Amino acid sequence: MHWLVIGFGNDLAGDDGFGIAVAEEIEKRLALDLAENEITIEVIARRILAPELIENITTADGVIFIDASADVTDGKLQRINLQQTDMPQNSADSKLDCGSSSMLMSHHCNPVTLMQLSHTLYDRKPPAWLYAVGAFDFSLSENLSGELAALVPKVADQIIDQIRKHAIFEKA
Amino acid sequence: MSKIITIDPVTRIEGHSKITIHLDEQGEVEEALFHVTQLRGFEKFAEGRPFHEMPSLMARICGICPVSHLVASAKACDMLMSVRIPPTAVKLRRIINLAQIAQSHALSFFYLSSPDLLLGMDSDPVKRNIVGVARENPELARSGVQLRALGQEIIEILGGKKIHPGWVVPGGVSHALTAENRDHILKKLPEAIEIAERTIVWFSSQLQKFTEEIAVFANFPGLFMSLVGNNGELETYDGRLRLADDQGKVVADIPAEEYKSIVDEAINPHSYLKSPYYKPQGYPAGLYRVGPLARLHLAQTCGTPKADLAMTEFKKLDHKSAFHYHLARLIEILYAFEMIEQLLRDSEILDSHVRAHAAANAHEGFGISEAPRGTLMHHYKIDDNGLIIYADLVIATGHNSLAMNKGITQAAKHYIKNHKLTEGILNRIEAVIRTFDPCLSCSTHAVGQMALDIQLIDAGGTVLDRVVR
Repeated sequence: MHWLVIGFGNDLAGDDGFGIAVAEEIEKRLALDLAENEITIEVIARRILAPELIENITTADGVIFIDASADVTDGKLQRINLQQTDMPQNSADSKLDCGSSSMLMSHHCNPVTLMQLSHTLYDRKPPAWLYAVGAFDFSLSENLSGELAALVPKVADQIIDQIRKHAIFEKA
Repeated sequence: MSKIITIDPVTRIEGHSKITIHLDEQGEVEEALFHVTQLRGFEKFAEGRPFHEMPSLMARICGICPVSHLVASAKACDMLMSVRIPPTAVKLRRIINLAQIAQSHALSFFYLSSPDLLLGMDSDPVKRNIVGVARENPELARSGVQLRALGQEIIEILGGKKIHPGWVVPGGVSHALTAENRDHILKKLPEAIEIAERTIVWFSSQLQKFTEEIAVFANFPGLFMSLVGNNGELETYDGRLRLADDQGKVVADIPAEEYKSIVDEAINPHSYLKSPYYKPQGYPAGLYRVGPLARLHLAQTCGTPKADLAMTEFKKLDHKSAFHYHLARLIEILYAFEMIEQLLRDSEILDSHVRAHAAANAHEGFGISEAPRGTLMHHYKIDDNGLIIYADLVIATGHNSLAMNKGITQAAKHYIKNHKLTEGILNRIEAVIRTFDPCLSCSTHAVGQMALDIQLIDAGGTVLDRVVR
C-alpha cells in the first residue's frame, strides 16, 4: 500500500509550521519497519497546498493532511475524515470551505478541494483524513509553541499507527 | 454627493490589495485606484548583508516567483564579481527561468483566470473557481495541473526543490545537470508542448465571446517594455531593454543595465506599490506595460517553431487590450517548453564547468531578467568588504501599476452606470487586474490573503455601503 502524508503551513509563522514539523518527524521514522505490511509512505511538506499535488494523490491508497488551525481549540487535535466531507459550499470551518472565494482565490487550496479535484479529474478519491491542531500563536517565528512542539511526536506516532492499522485491515 | 466604491481585497491575485472606485457629484465614475496595502521592505533589510547572500535572500521575496529573483539577483552579483559566467551556466539559468515562467503562467491562466473565461464573468461566484472549471471542462483543468506540475518539476530537478531553490548562485549555478535528469525532462516535454498548443487553439476560439472585455479591459494607447534579443527575438534572460508604442515605434533601445536613464519611480499615497514611468514622457504620461503582452508585442519572433506559428496569429490582435495578456501567457508557455527542449539538446548542456569564482571586483551591480509578469531589475551597491549598502528592486508588477490603475478606471467607467453594482461588474473590474497577473508579494515584497470586500464611501469618508464575500 502507498500512503501520502502532506504536512502544510508556514514554518515562519510560529505554530503554522506544525504540519511541516510532523511531516518531517514522520520522514525521520520512515526507517521504521513498515515493510511487514508492505506499506510505503510518501511524505510531502509544503507551505501551501496547490493543485499539482493531485498527481500525488491519484497514486495513493490513502492520504493524510496535517495542518495547524485557528478553528480548532488551542492545543486540541481534531481528526476529520475527508471522505465524509462532501464539498460544503459555505462551511463555518474555513479549512473545509471550498466554495468561498477566500479558499480558491489564489494559488492555494484546501484538502477537500484537492480530494474533490482528484475525484473529478482522475476519478480517484482515496480515503483521506485531516489532522488539524489548534494553534496558539501564528506570529513571526521559526519555532512552535511549547505545547505544539510537544504534540509533534505524538501526532506522528498516531498517524503512523493509523496507517499501519488501516493497512492491516485492508490486507485482512 | 461624490462617493467611493471599494473592492477590498481583490481576489484571485497573489497578495493583498483593494480597489476604490471614486464617483463624482453626478454619481458617475471619476477614477479607480488599485491599492496595494502591504509592505515588507526587502530593500532595507538587505543592507549590511554580504552580497553573495543576495540570491538566496531575495528569492524569499515570493513563493510564486522565487526563481525570477534568484536569477536577477545572481546576475547583479555576477556584475559585482566582474565575471563572465560559463556558457553552460547561462543555459541552465535560462532553463530554470523558463520553467518558472511556464509554471507561473499556468497558475495564472488555468487556476486564476480560467474560471472567468470558461464559466463567464457573471457566473455564480461560489462556483467560479478551479473546482467549477474541473466540473465544466475537466480536460482544461487537467491541462493546468499538468503544465504547472512540469514547470515545478523542472525547477525541483535543477534547483533541488520546488520553492526557494538555491541552485542559482553568483558566478553560475552550484552543480551541473546530469544526463539522467536531462533525459527525464526531455521525455516529458512533448506532452506539455501538445497541451499548450491545444489550449492556445481552444482559447483563440473563445476570444469572440469577449469582444466587450477586449474593448474595455485596459485598452488604450501607450508604451510597452521588455528585454529583446539581439536579433529581435523573444528574450527572457538577457538582451537589450526596449520600449515601443502600441504601433511598434521604438522610443528606447538601450543596454538593460542603463535602465535608470529612462525609468523613474513615482510614489503614490494610496499604495505601497511604486509606479515606474518612462522618464522622457514624465509622470503619469510615461505609462508603460510589461509582461507577456509586452514581450510578444516587442519581439519579432519567439525563436521556436510552434510558438512562432501561434505568434503569427497573435500579431493580428489589438495589443492595446490587456485582455490579450491571457493568450500571450499561453504562447509563452509553449515557447518556454520548446526552448527548454532546445537548450537541453545543446551539446554543452552537461558540461561540468558551471561556476566562475571571484571576490567582489566592483562596487555596483545590476541584474535584469524577464520574470513571468515582466522585466525584473535588481540593483546593488556594496562597500569595500562586499557588504550591501544599497539595494533597489524594480518589480514587474510595479511597472504595470499605472496601466492597472488606468485600466480599472476605464472598465469602471464602462460598466458602472446609474450607481448600479452587480457581482458581474465587480468581477470584471477585478478581472482587469487579473489580466496583468500582479504579484504583490514581489512588488511590495510581502504576502497576504484575500477575500472580497466592497465599500461605498462618500466624499467625507463615510462608508455608505459594504459587501463582503
